[in-house]
Amino acid sequence: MGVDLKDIIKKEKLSLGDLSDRTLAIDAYNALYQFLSVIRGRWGEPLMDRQGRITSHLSGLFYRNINFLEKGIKLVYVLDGKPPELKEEEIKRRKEVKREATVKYEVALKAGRIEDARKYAQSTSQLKSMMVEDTKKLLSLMGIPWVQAPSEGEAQVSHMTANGKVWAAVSQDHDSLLFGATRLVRNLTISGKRKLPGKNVHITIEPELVELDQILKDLDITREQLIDIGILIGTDFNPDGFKGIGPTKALKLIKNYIKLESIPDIQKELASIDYQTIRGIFLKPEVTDSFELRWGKPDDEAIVDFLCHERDFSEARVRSAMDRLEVIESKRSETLERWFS
Amino acid sequence: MSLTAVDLVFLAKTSTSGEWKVVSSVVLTLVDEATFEASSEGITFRAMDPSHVALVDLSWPSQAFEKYECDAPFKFSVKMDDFAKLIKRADAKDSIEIATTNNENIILRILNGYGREFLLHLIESTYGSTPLPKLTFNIKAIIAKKAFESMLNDISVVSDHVTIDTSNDKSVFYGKGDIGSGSVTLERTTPDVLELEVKENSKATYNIEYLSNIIKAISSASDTVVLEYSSKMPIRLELKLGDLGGKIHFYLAPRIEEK
Repeated sequence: MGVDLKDIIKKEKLSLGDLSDRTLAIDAYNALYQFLSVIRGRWGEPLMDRQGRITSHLSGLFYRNINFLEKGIKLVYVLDGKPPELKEEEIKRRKEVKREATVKYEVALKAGRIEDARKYAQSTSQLKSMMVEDTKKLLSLMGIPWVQAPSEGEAQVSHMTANGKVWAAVSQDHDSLLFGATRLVRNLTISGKRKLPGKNVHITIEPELVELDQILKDLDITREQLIDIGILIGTDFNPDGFKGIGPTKALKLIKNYIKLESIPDIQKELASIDYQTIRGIFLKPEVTDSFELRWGKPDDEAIVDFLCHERDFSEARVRSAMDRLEVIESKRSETLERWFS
Repeated sequence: MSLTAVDLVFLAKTSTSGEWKVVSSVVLTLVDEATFEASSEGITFRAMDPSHVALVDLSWPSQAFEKYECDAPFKFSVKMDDFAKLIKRADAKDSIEIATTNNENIILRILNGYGREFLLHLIESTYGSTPLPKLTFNIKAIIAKKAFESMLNDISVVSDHVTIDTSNDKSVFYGKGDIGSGSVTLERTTPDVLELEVKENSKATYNIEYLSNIIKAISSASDTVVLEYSSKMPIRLELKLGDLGGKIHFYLAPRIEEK
């Protein structure tokens, strides 16, 4: 999913504390998919309430956000709008992967192969519209702003960093860099101890920071060239990329030949994809400036009502998380935003 | 090779280095990267800190400069660390001249008998316009900067927040922390209180560190502090940037009320 640049870009390790007092815009779907794939019961099944409704995303949103709020990190969630037409192929492909994984999960579970079941379960997550509604509701109750993107969430998030509305974009994908995000924070939603899929090994994941300016300087290329590199490797709009071209080779080609049109060996393949449109999606994406970022106080009772009474969360755990927050909050200042309108 | 301007767009010269030193320390308390706006009227800067708790609104009119020329409105963004380092190279009596011919660099000259000249690359601005909070103030006090600063130092011994409680004839500043509590009372008749206007008794609490940092940064550029606030509302401090009309407004959001 998304373009993979990790072999060619430098990143900086961060701790959550480094992000204290920073405003960050997060691609909400990207985060929700992570919660849905990581937050699972011991058989690899998602968390559910008594009516069988999935609650993994709510659990992730609630407890992770409490952690962020405790550290003074100000998040704004950006929800995807209508995807660009070119992405439909990728969306179809993802659906197919999930369908296959669901079948494999059920087979593995029946056969008692728990490790396999867990692995497949992680690829089965599907975002249902109810989960999106749940997300909006919980965020509003927690006093965390969300923005509806006209199209790609990733593009909207990047736009918000570029015009200084927020300090950085948060996503696992590098696509935000192609969309022009000035800073990208990765691993934020999954930081901490994680079990490696398929192995009985735990690793500690730390957030990392990537700065667009620095990357372009280090690689000595323009953002347009970075987009061309992305197209060579494969983006959401041409998921297969070019045959036999990975990040290192793509960088070398673009540095030697400047742009896609001048690379001799790929012209036939290039003719088969709508690369001009893809460039346009990254350079001039559909974004909006009409939103308001306002962080408020969590509505404790309404949260308990929603999570505990409707969705069977443990009231003791939810309340103790909110109490932790209250101690911190009482020491903090309001933001000036309240007085702007 | 000289870096002298050919098509002059902008030039601002101060007779000493003090104002720029104050401006760079004030801006540094707030942000790492700063965008200044220049027009024929003068130089302005407005930004919030990353947590959106504090805002600085600086206006530095053209008549406050020894020499000032600006043909067309012009914005320049700098990494404040680098900019402040260059400004620090100047001695107190040195004159500072900032000029530009294009949108990529500024030329900074430190002049005192002989000339020193630096070229500083501008950074790409991530500038989004910052509005001003809409506020009405029920309290206005003009206090000697020294008295205000020592009050902050007093209260910071016991607390990281100061509550300001103003009624009729006096302002009481107090703080309470783990080791105990403390208060400083400034009455209307205290010589350090130059003016006290009370429309309505008001009480609000603010973070001391933010206030101390800005007061330290302003150094001796302002001998008074105009303090305005209302209950549970942001506070505004007005500080002078020298005696020629330069002015800094500092806004700070109140502490969240305890339940």
